[in-house]
Order: sequence, then structure tokens, then C-alpha cells
Amino acid sequence: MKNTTKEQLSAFLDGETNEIEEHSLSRSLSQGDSLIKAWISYLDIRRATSMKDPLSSENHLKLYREISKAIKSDETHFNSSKRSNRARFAFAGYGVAASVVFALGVLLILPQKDESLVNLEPDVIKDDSYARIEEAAEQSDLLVNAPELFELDQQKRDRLRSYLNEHDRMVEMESDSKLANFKEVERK
Amino acid sequence: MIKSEINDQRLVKRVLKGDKKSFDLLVLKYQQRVSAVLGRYKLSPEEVMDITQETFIKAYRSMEKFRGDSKFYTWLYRIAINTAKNHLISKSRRPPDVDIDVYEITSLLKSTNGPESEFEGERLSQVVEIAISKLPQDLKSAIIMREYEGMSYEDISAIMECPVGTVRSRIFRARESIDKEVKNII
Repeated sequence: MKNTTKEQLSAFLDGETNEIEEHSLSRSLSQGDSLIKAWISYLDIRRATSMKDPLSSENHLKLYREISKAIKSDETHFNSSKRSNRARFAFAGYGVAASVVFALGVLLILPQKDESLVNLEPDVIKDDSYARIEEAAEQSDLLVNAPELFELDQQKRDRLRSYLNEHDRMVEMESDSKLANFKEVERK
Repeated sequence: MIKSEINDQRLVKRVLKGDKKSFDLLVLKYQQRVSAVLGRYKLSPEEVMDITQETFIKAYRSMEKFRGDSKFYTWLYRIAINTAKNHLISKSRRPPDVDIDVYEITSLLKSTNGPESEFEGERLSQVVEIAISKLPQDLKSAIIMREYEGMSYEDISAIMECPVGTVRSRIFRARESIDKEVKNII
């Protein structure tokens, strides 16, 4: 697990994280036990310094898993959840409509591009596409290798937040759906 | 409203929208505090585990009733002590006459474990103290102010005259060093 995630957990337990970091932690929780192991270590430190609680690390681990399992299988539905379901369907409708419009736009624009390319020398096309590919690869390397170098401005944060919210909604919708889950089918 | 409370309100809103992972985060944040409070009721570790679990499940199911007038933890705390009292009544054991003050949570709590667990607890405390004493001064000060004094990052940054981000990083690095030391020794 990345140190960034552990630092986020450390700050979260102290109530010092922001919304985006909470989303990130929430996702890390679904990706294995490493975050929980770090949590147990931090509980040990707290127990030794300021809070002598009656449970051992093993008990805390067991307890957390039991609570998490119980909540996962709990069928309580909140009103706002129902509202958000309606919103999800509306959003899905808008999404389909937007996709259709985009596809039509691409169909109308593409032939024009092809005609303009016919007039270009083959070498020019090749060089230009190589340059674009190299540029894109360089950008993606930067993003993968040094994500912390990019500070998001307010607008980008808002976009990221709305993306994350939408992602969560879609994940939630998937878990509610009655479609086949191929991963589970494979396991069986 | 302090930052931690705002974070809790945000997580509650997400839980109400159907995001169960946000509730898991609230469990991570408060499980130890709830079990520590229940330890005061002279319950066995198994009983503490059962009541802590019941507390969180009740909290989840009645999440819509949380209006945000009080702190999320205060609300959770009330559920925990009511559940503990009901448990003691059902077991025909008298609950304590006086409620435990919600603000006493970080004070030292009497362990209800057996002598073996108490020995382990004391050993852990010693090892952590040794680990803290070995830390560089800036990490040591940050973790002491946070863990022993319960100070916010903002307050620590004002005292240490450094940015909040630096405090956060120092506390994290201190925890990692302590964890390594504990794992080496125990």
C-alpha cells in the first residue's frame, strides 16, 4: 500500500482529511486488508498512549469485520437513497442521449477530416501522429509516476468530486442490480 | 464546527445516499472510542464486542434520525451507553448510577481484561514509550501533542510554527516509526 494512503488514514483517524481523501480511503477499503492492518497499528499506538480500551488488536480486527459484514448485508433503505436511485436513472438517460449526440457529431465530422488528410504527404501524417503519441505517452507517464506533482485547482477538484460521486453511485447501482456478476460466477 | 465534525456530517450524508463504505470509515474512526467507553461498564471483552457491534448496527439503521444538531460521536455515544444499560438490565446486573461523561473519553480507562492481557498492554505501552523517545525531536513533539494532549493539527502547527501539512506528515512518520519499533520488539 502507498504511503500516501497510510498518511490519509493517519489523518482521517485524527479528523483531518478532506472529501477527496475520504473517497480515496473508501476505495482503498475495497482493495484488500492492507489499510486495515495499518489501522490496527495506529490503534495499538493510541491504546498505549491515551486510550486503554478493553479490546486487543485481534478483537478489534474481528469486530470491524463483523460490523462491516453486518452492514453490507443490512437491507435498510434510506429515503435519500431512493431519491438518488431516481436521479441515477435520470442521469443514465441523459448519458445515453449525450452519447447518441456525440456519435452523430463524430460521424458528421470524420469524413471531412479524411478528405483533408488525403491531401497531405504520407510522411507528414506519420510524423504528426508519432509526435502526438509520444506527447500523450509522456503526459501519462508523468501522471502515473508523479501524481503528487499535480495540484488541482478548484474547478478540477469540483470535476473530480462529481466524477467520484458518480463512480460511487455506479458502483452502488451495480451492487444492487440483478445482472450476472461474472467474477462471482467464475469463483463458483 | 470543527473539521472532524464536518467530515463526519459529510460521511453521514454519503451513507444516507447508500454508500456503505462511508459507514465503514465511521466504524474505523470510532470503534476504539466506543469500545473504550463500554469498558467502563465492567463488561467482558466479548460483551464489549457484542455491544459495540450492536451500537454500530443500531446507528446505521437509525442514521436518518441523526439530524446533525449534535456531534456524530455524541449521538453514537448515547446509543452505546443505552445499549450497554439495556444489556446489563437484561442480564440482571445493575448499570452504573451515574452516566459517564462524554468528554471523559480520552481519560485513562480501567481495563477489564485478565492479567495476561494487562501485562501485554503494559508491555505495549513501554515499547511505544521507548519508540517515542527514540524519535527525532520534531516528530516526537508532534506525536506527543496529538496522542497525549489530543490537540488538533492546526493547534500543533501554531505551536510548532510550521504548516498544517508538515504536522500531518510528521505525525504520520512518527506513527510509522513507532509501528516499526513495536513490530521489531514484540
